[in-house]
Amino acid sequence: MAEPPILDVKGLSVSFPGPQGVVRAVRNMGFALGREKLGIVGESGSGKSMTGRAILKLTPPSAVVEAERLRFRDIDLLAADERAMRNIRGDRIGMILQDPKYALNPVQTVGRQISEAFRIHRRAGGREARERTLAMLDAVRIRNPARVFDLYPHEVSGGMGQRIMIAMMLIPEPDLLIADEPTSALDVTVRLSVLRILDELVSARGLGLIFISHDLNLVATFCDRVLIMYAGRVVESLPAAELPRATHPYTRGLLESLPRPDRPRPVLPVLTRDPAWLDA
Amino acid sequence: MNPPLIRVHDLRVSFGSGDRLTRAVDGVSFTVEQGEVFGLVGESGCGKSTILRALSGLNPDWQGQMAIGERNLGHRRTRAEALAMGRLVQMVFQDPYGSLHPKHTVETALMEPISIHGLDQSARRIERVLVEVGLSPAFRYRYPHQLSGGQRQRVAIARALILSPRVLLLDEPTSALDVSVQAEILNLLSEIRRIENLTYILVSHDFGVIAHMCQRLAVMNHGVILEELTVPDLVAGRMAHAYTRELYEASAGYTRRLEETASA
Amino acid sequence: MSDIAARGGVRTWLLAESVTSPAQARAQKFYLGWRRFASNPLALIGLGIVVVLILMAIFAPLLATHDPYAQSLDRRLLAPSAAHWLGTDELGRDIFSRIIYGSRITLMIVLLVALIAAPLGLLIGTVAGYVGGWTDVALMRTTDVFLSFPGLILALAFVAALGSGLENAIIAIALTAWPPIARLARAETLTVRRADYIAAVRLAGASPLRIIIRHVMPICIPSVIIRITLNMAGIILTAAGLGFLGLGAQPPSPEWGAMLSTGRQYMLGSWWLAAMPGLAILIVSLGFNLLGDALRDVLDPRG
Repeated sequence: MAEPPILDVKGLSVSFPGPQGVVRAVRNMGFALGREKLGIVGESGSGKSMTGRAILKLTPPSAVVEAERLRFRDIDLLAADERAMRNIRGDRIGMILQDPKYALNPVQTVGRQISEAFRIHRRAGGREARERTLAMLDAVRIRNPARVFDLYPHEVSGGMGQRIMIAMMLIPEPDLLIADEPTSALDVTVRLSVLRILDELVSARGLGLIFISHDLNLVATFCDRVLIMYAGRVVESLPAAELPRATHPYTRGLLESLPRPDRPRPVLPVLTRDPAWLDA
Repeated sequence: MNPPLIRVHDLRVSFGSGDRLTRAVDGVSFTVEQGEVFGLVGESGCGKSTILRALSGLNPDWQGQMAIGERNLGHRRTRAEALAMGRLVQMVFQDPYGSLHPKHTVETALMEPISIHGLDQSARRIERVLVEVGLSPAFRYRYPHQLSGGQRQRVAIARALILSPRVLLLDEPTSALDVSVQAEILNLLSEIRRIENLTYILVSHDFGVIAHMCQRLAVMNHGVILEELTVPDLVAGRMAHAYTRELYEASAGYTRRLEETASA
Repeated sequence: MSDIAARGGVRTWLLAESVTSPAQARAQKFYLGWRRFASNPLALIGLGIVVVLILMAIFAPLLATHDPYAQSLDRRLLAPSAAHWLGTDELGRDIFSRIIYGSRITLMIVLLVALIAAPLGLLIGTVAGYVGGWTDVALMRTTDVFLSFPGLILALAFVAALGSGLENAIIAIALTAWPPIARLARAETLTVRRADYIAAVRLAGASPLRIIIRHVMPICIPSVIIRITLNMAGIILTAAGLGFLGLGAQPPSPEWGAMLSTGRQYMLGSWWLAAMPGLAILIVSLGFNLLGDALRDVLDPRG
C-alpha cells in the first residue's frame, strides 16, 4: 500500500497514577489504519475506550499518555497543543459516542447543532450551512430533513439520534471517524440500518473508521480488521473474516463462551483467565 | 397431565389516559409449564418487561386473568397476599449496578426478605444461598460498589432465591454483563433451575441467550405476541412471521459472514 | 478479629480485604471516607473550626479569663490589651470571656435546630415522595407555605407570637429550616423510588413504612447532612439577626448577635465591641460552609 496510513500508532500507553500504584489502562498499543474499518473489541476495563480518547487527547486530566508514535496523516498528535487539537477534533477526526442523548445539546434544535458543526470548521454562512445540513440529513437517510431540522434531541428516537450524530460528525468531512459503542444502545433492527449508513458513508468518502465495541459478533461482521484487547494490551490482530479461526486463548475463550443458536451446548464453556495474558 | 404452572389470559396494561393513552400490553395470552424456561423476545417498547412487572405484582394496574399454580393473581395487594406472592414469584433485574441497595451490605440485602417473612435460621439460609450462587462467605459484608458486575448479579440471584420461590422472572439478566461473565451466570441459572426445580420466564433481546436457555419463546411487538414457537423451530428457520425472521437474522450480526465461515 | 489486630493493629483491620463482621464493614467504610475527607485541606480547616467551637463551649469555664457577666463600670470600653484580650464592652465586661461563653449559645442553637429540622424535613420529604398522591400534595403545599417566607421574617413572626427568648428563637428558626430539607428529601425519594433495589424489596413483601425507613432514608441522609451543614451558616446568621433585634437571647446573655447589636452604637469609637462578635460569627459560618462542602465531596453518591 503506497498511501501512508491515515493513523499511525505505536507504543501508546495511558496510565493513571493512583493511591495503590499506577494503573495502566492502555499498554504498548499499536496499529496502522488506512481507508478501512478497524474494530477494537474488548470487555470492560480492556482499555478500548481509553485508546479512542487518547488519540483525540480527550483523556481525563490525571491520565498520562505516552507513545512512541501517534501520527494522524502528517500531523504529530503527541506534539500538538490543545489549540491544534481543537482544530483537528470535529474537523479532521470525528467521534461518535454511545448515547446521542448525552452528546446532543438538549436546548438547541438538531439542525442548528449540525449547522454549527459545519460553520465552526468551514467559516460558512448560515444559508450554506443549512443547505449542507439538509443534504447531510438526507445522506443519513432521514426521510424528512426539513422537518427533522427543527426538532429537539428529545423528540427523536434513538436510531434517528445516532444518525444525526453521524451527520454532525461527517459534515466537516473528516478523514478519520472514531465510533465508541455507537449502536449498543439501539434495538437490533435499528442497529443494522445505522450500521448500513455508516458503512456506505465510510466507503464512499474513503474514511478510516475505528469501531470500538464489546460485541465480538458485531465487530467481526461489520469491520475489515479486528484488534482484541485485554487488560490494556492488544492480544490478537487479524482480518475480521478470520475471527472464527483466532488463535489467542483469550479470543478463543470469548468465542467459545458466546451462546449460539446453531450450536446448542448444555453448559457454556467459561473463560479461565491466564495471568500470562497480562504480560505476553 | 398437569395444568400449566403459569397461565396468562388476555393481559392488558395501559399507561396514561385520554389521547396520551399507551397500550403497553394489548391482549397477551400464554402459558408456561412447570420446569420450563419460556422466552419473551422483542425490541424496546414491545411490552415484554411490562408483562413481568404485572406478573410479579410490581404493577397492580392490569386487566385480564393471570394465575400461578392454584393462586389467581389479584389486584388488591393485602399484606398477606404480598407475602404469599413473595414466596411464589421473584425477579432478577437487568442492571446489576441498580438492583442492589448501595448502602446495604450483601448480608443486609439477604436478611431483608428473611426478616420481612419472619423466617428462622437466618444465618444458615444466607450461607446456603451464597454457596448456591457460587459466592464465598467472604462476600457477606461487602458493599455493592466493592463487587464486580458478575458478583452483584449473583447476589441478586441469591436474594431472589432466599424465599424459595417457584417462579423466577429474569429481565435481561446478562445484558449488562461482559461476555465472559455472561456464560458463568447463564450456567448458574441453568444449574439452579435444575436443582430447585424452578420455572423461568426469560426476557431478552439476544437470540443466543434465548436459544441457549429456553425451550419455547414468544415474539412480541407493540404490546402483542406475534407468534409463539419452539427453539428448534426458530433455529431451523421455521418461523411463521416475517418480523421474527427479521429479528433473528439481525441478531446474527451485520452480515452473516461469521456463521458462513464458521460452518465452512 | 483478635489475631488480625495482634498482627498489624487497627489499620490492618480497617484495610483488610476480607471482612468478617458488619461492624468491620461499617468501620472500613468510615475509615475510607475519612481518608478522602482528610485529603482536602479546606475540609480540615472547616472541621477544625467546628471542633474549636465545640471545645470552646465545653471548656468555657477553663478558657475564659473573666466572669462574662461581671460588670466593672470603671473599666468600660477598654481597647484590647494584655489584661483584656479582646477589650471590654460598655458595661466593663470582658469581651473575650463573653465570646467564649457565647459559643455555648451558638452551639446550642445550631445543634437543636439541626436536631429538630433535619429529622422533620427528612420524614416529611420521604413520605411525600414515596407515597405520592394526595399525601404528597398536602405535605408539599404546606412546605411551600413555609418556604415562601424569607427565613428571618418567618422567624420574627414566630417569635412575635411565642414571645422572645432563646428557646422560642430556636423553635422559630427550626420551623424555617425544615422546608428546604423536605424538598430535598422528596426530590431524592422520587428518583430512588424507581430503582430496581426498591422493586426487589417490594417483591419480598416489604411494607411502605419499612421501605421508607430502611431503604429510602439511608439514601437521602447524606444529602440532608450536607444541606443542614451548609445551612448552619444561615441558621447562625438568623439567630444573630434575631439577637440583633433583641428577640433572641436576652441581656445579659453573651449571645453573639446581641453583642453585635449593642456594639453597633460604639462602632466608631470602640470598634472591638462589634468587630469581635462579628468576626466570631464570620469564622464559625465559614467553618460550617467549608465542612459542608467537604462532606458533599465525600458523601455525595454521584461524586
